[in-house]
Amino acid sequence: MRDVAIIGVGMGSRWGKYNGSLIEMMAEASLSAIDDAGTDNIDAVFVANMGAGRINNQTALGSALIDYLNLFPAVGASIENGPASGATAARIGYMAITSGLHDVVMITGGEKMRVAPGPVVTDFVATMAHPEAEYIHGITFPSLGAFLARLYFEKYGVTSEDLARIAIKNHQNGLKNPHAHIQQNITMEGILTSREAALNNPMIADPLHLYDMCPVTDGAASLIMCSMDKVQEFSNSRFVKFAGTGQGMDTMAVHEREDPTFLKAVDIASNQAFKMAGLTRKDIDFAEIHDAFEILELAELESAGFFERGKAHLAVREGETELTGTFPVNTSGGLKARGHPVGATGVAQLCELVWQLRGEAGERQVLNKPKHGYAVNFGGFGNNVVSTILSRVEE
Amino acid sequence: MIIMSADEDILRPKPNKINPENTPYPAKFINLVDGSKMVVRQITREETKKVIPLFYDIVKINKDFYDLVSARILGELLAYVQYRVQDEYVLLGQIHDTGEVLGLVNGYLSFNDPKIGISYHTMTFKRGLRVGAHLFVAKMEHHLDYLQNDEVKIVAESHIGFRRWMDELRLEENFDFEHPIGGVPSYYLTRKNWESYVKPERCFGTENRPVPEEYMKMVTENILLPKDVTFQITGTPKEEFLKGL
Repeated sequence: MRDVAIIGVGMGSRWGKYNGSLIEMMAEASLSAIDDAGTDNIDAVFVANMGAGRINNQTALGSALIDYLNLFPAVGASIENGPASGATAARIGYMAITSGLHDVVMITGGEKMRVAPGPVVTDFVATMAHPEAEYIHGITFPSLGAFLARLYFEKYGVTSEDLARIAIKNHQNGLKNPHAHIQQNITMEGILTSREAALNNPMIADPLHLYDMCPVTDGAASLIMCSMDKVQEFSNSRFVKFAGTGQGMDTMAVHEREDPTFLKAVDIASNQAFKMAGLTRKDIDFAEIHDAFEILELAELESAGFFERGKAHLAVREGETELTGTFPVNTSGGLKARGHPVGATGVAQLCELVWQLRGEAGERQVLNKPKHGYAVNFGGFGNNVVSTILSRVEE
Repeated sequence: MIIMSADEDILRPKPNKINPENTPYPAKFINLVDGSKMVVRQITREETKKVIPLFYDIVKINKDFYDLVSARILGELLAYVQYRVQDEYVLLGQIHDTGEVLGLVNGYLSFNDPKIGISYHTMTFKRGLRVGAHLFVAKMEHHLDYLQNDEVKIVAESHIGFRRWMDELRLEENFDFEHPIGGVPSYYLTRKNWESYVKPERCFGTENRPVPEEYMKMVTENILLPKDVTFQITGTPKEEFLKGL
C-alpha cells in the first residue's frame, strides 16, 4: 500500500452562522485547503455531510461542489455516516489513494444547521438513534448524554464541576482559535457555583447543563490528501503523514451494551489506528476528542486507552489535558467551542492535527514540536466511530 | 427652578397618584458566565442621552428584529429625555470594572392605572452572556417590588424575546389588552407568578445590594458604549455587515 500525506487544510471563515449557501460555505473551506496545498489538480472529492437532504433540501453534494468549483474531471460522492461522516470520508480518501485508484483527493465536510429551529435540529440529530428501541420513544442525544453522565457520576465519582472544568478548558482554547464558533470566556462561578448560574447555565437534560453541550453550528472544513510518493510535485512541503485509521462499531441501542460507560467502538477504532501507525498511546502528544457532550471527552479518552477507566476526570482536575498540560486535549476548542456542524467535525479535527503538527496553531500551539496527534470522530451515540492518527514528517 | 411655558407644562408628565416619587430602582450586580459582574442600575435623563447614539447604528441591523426594536427604543428614549412619557424609566446593564454597556431595558406606568406596569423593550448589545434574560427580570423586579405595580403588560417583537419572556417566565395570555407597542397578542406577569416563580427562581443579584462604591463610581463615570455594536450583535464588523444590506 502507498503511504498517504495531507498536503493542505482549510476551514474558510469563522464557524457559527453562515449567511450564504451550504455549497458556498463548503467551497470557501475547499478553496482555503486548495490554496494551502498549492494545487487544484484533484482526482476525487468526497463530501462529508449528514443532513443537507433534510434541513437544506439539497443532496448529491459531491457533484455540487465539483461543479461549483469547476474541478472537472474530478469525480466525487457524498459520504454520510452521522457525526463521523468527516473522518469516514477521510478514511475513504485514504483507501482511494492507497489502493492506487486516485493520487490526489479532497475531503470537504460541511453542515449548515442553523437554518432550522432548535427542536428540528434536535430531532434531526435524534434520527441516528435506534428507530424502534430509542427514537420513537422520544430519546434525544442530550438525553443519551445525560444517561451516560449519570452513570459516570455514580460509577466513578465524576461531578458537575468536572464537566464544567472541561468546558472552561475548551472555551479557553476556543478563544485562541480564529475559526471557533464560541469565543467566550467562561468561569466556574459564572456557570456553576454562583446563584446566577441557574439562569446563566440552565439544566438541559439532568445532570447536563447548557455548557456541558456543544452548540448548533454552521461550518465547513477541507483537506487535501495525496500519495506520499507524489508530494514533491506540489509546492506545499509542510505535509503530514496520514499514519493510521481505524473504524469500530457497537450496538445502535445504547441499553444493549454490556457497560455503556465503555465505548467499545472507540476501543476498536483506536486499536486499529495504533496498529496501523505502529505507535502506542504514549507516543501521542495531543488529541482532538469528539466532545459533543463534555462527558464524552472523559469516556472517549478512557475507551481510547489514554487513561484508565474512571480516571480521566482526575487528570482533568490536575490540568493534564490543558493546553500547557502533559497531554493537551481539544486544542481547537473541541466541539464545545469550535462548534459541531456534524459533517464537518471529523475533517476539522484533522485540520487541527495538521496545524499543530506543522507548528502553525498560533496561540494554541502545543509546545515542544509535537510528532503525533490523535483524533476520534464519534458517530451515532458511539455505534460507529473512526479514529485517526497523523504524524509529522521529520525534516 | 426651571421656567417653562404653559403649554410645555401641560405636555409634561405629572406625578402619579399611587407612587408619585416613582421609587428608584436600587442598583445590584449580577455574576455573568464569563466571570464579569454586570451592574444593573437606573439611569438619569442626562445619562440616557449618552446611550442614545448607540441606536443610530443598531437600527441598521436587520437581524433578529434589532432594527425594529431599536427604532422603537430610540423613540422611547428620546421621549423620555424630552419629558414626553408618563413615568418612564431606563435600566442599564454595565460591566462593573469598565463601565461597558451590555444591555438596556425600559418601561413606564399606565397613565390610567399606575398599578399597571407597561414593559417597553429589552435589548442586549453583547450576546451569549444571558444579559437580556437578567435585565428583563430586573425590569419586572422594578415594577413589582419598587413601583408598586400589580401586574406588568408585555409583548414581544422578536422570536428570541418571545421564547425568553413568554415561555421561560411562564407569562399568561392577556390577548384582550391592547399593548401600546402594537397590535400583537399581549401577555402579562401577575404578582402571583412573580412571587411564586419568577422572583424566587429567575431573579438574581438581589443579594448583591448595595453595589460596592467602587463599582458604582466606575459605571457612573464611564458609560462606555460598545466599540462596534454591529459586530457584537451580528458577529460581522459594521462595514462588512452594511455591505451585505
